[in-house]
Amino acid sequence: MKILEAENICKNYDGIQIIDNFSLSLDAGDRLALLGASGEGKTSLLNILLGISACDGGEILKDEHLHYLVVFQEDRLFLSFGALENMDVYPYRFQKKEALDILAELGLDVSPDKPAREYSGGMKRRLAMARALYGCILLHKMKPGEPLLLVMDEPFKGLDSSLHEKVIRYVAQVLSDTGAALLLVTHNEKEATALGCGLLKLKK
Amino acid sequence: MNKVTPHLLHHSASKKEQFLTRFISIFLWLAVWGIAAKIIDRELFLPGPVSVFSALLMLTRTRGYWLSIFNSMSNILIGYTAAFFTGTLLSAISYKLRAVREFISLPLRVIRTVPVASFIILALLWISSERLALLISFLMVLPIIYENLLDGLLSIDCGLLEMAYLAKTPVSKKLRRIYLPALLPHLTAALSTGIGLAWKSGVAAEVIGISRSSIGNHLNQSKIYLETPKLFAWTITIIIISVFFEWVVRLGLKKLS
Repeated sequence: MKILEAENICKNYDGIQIIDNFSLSLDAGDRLALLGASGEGKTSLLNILLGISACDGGEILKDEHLHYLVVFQEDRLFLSFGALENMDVYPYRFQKKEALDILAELGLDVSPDKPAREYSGGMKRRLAMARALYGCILLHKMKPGEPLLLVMDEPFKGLDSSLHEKVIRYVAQVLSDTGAALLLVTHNEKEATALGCGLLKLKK
Repeated sequence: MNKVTPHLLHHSASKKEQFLTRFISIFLWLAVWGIAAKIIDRELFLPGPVSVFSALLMLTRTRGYWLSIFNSMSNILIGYTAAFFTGTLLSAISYKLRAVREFISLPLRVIRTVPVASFIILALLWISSERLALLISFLMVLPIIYENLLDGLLSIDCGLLEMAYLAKTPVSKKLRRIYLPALLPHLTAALSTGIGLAWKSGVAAEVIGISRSSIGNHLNQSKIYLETPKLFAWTITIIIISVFFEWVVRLGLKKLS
């Protein structure tokens, strides 16, 4: 079942073409990694696919029931709030136990009241990831059968090497459990292969 | 080798220290006032603290004092509250619609720049002097609330709004976690500045408009009959009420945050 299709996407910035006729098709449960060096338009492309940035040409079609769960390049956290309140962004009743389990799996054993402002860079990254993974698990439970797409933009940047593998394993487990598709933006091919992604290299 | 001593740029005083400093500075200013009154030695120009506080004590024993406070307070607070709601509504509309923002910005800039006395005289042609303080405090506070809240709304991190849009975050959660934290500092500044301004402009309106049974009218009467201690006593009353409401506003916002 197709969940997202992009055809001939083009994007210019100040007269420079950064995305030129890009096409993509994702089925439910697919895992795809967009690889490329910095400045090759990966994040711009992602924003266009998410519908939060306009393209200069081309068309995007998505399943009407598709749910996006996103880990942005920046963490985009509520800095004055604790971990649980940062995860409670979905239009359903908050499932505290599931949220705490995810935090534990990602090695975020902090007081839930500690504001995100006081987290280290790596902890903020893991919290941003926890929010998206919690969304996957929650929506899989609340809206069974509806397609999920986990979008992650450089999610493992800044993570301690000791946690790196553990986090990747957990992301892979959530993807398998929920049947969510994955669109990963990275410049690290190893991460992409560890998550079982097909590779799509972007070139200028 | 030299020993490293910490160079602390921010010294945070304890509550006890703050209270003591405040108490000493009030006492020192009262002493300066008393000495100045002694040197001038003319109650008409500068009455001393003792005669002013005894005039204040006398006033508090009269029914007219409390009635005037009630009348002024109700007018000014209604004007202030109406300015808060109108300013909030207008800033929300302006945030969403750029055309409305441009349309509203001109009259609000005019209100900000035109002297309050011009407004008072003009408003006297439209409404009775009894409600003048209400209209003037409304007009003076409205631009402050509007501009501060609009600045707050425009400073909201678009990244958070995009995240909330994609997560389909309900309005109540967005209000609590995105809008309120971004608006609170602006709201605190607007409301605490606004309450002082509401009192200043409201009382000025009562003085010029000669509103019956109001603080402003008593100020005017004290000036006409050269009762300087009473004039000072009424001024102290205004300061106390204004500071009290500023404290209430700050406390309320602190609780909210």
